[in-house]
Amino acid sequence: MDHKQIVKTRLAAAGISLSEGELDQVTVAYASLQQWENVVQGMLRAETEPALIFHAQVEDES
Amino acid sequence: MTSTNAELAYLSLAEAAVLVARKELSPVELTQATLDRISALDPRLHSYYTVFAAEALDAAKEAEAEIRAGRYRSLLHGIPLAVKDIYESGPTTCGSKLRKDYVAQQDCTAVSKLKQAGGIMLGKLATYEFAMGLPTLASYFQPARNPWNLEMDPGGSSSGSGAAVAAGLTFGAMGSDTGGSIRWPAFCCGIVGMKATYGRVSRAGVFPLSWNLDHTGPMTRTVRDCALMLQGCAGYDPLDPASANVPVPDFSANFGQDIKGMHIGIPRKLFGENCGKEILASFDAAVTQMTKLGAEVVDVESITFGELCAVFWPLICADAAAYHLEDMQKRPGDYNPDLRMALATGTLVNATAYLQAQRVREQIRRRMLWQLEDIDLFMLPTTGLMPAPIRAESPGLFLMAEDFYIYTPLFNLTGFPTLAVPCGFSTGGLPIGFQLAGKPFDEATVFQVGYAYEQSTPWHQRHPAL
Repeated sequence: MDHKQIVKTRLAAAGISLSEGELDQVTVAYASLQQWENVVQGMLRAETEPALIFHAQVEDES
Repeated sequence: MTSTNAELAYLSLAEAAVLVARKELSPVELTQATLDRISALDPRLHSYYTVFAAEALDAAKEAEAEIRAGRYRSLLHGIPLAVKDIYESGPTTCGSKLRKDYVAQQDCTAVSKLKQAGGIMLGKLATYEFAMGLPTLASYFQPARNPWNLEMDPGGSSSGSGAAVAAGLTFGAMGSDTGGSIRWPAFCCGIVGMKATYGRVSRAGVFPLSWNLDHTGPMTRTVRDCALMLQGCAGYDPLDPASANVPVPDFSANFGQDIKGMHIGIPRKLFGENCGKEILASFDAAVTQMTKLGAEVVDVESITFGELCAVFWPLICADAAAYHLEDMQKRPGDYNPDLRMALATGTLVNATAYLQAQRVREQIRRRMLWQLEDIDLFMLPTTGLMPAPIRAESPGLFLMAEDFYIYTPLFNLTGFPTLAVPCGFSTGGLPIGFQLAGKPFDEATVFQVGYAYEQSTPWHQRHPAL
């Protein structure tokens, strides 16, 4: 499946529809996402956890 | 006090505050003059969506009565301010057709705090759609104009905040910053903007774009004004899950202290090869000025621009897509085209890629925290690009383009406090600026260095001819 077809299929699965012209642009962006995944993989050090909780400082109730 | 409209409009917030505190300037006179200026100039600038004229005058009268009675609240007492239209307070459109009729039932925390400090709320300022989607002449809400050249974009997404502050249509404005939306319009409009440390200013009631990248902060004409306005809105808020329960120091405490011996790191690898020549020349001149002020400037290791894009864009797009998914399914035609496509792209970020990007983000943050053990601040251009013309139609997915050289997201990834400061003008007469980033919750040092630079240069004294 080429990139445009993948994008079309995945957007449809998410319930999102775009015009053909917009699909073309999002397909270019999708290619960037693929490329960026490789860049990120190359930057990764094994010991790091994801920063999902950036910092959680709550009020001290003690 | 007898002054012309323009003289009053271009008082700094600090100057106006002193006059108000001494009862030499009436908050009512100041508010009326600002409202008159908005009426005269904003039909060309489009910086305000909503002006609270009657409410502002009522609040100014109340402030004046309080001050006369000796109940002076703070340096913001009686000072006209405004907020980006993603802060809940009255009509809150987010610059989108989807929210054109939405009226908030209560003020968000930041607006409440500014009002409690005595600030006079003038109105709601234009924004890129949902703080991300570029407005064009074809958009439901008209784009704000750059006061230095009305044909040009004022930067975004806090576009109206940048334009209104630069044009003297408010003494300060709140912006939000998920990837540079305070600092980019500050650059484009020749003003100061502080993206405070993640967690420093409450985001409760501020429409989200990305929960873990969203920051808030003030935009003003001077560094001192920025510190004063941050003083009025900072602080722990249990309504914001990311709010930090840390003390709020005096952000103005270091003003006037010299910066001799301070160490400033330049992450040149990020911008050296892609920054516009005029911007780079102004930046290098600013670096030279820092050395003249006694700072020791050194190049420091950094990620590349390509690496920054690879980490940042999947995170912001996926977060935004998660928030907007239902509207994207039901009302996609109500979004501006570039935002619609960016949100669609966000749905294509797979979970593994998202988590890997978050892991790398944490690595970047830790590495830069280590660097801050050897240096006091990072200094770098805000962007490598001058503002673009206002567009008739959507340019497409420009945000994620490989040549959209914006260096601000680095500090959304790290959460560090970052100040945008003007440092010159292009040959075309448009402002140029740089950013200073410091240790988490050490806004005072960032302000100190920004102030020392500002006071040694003339850039903050120039205003657009309107």
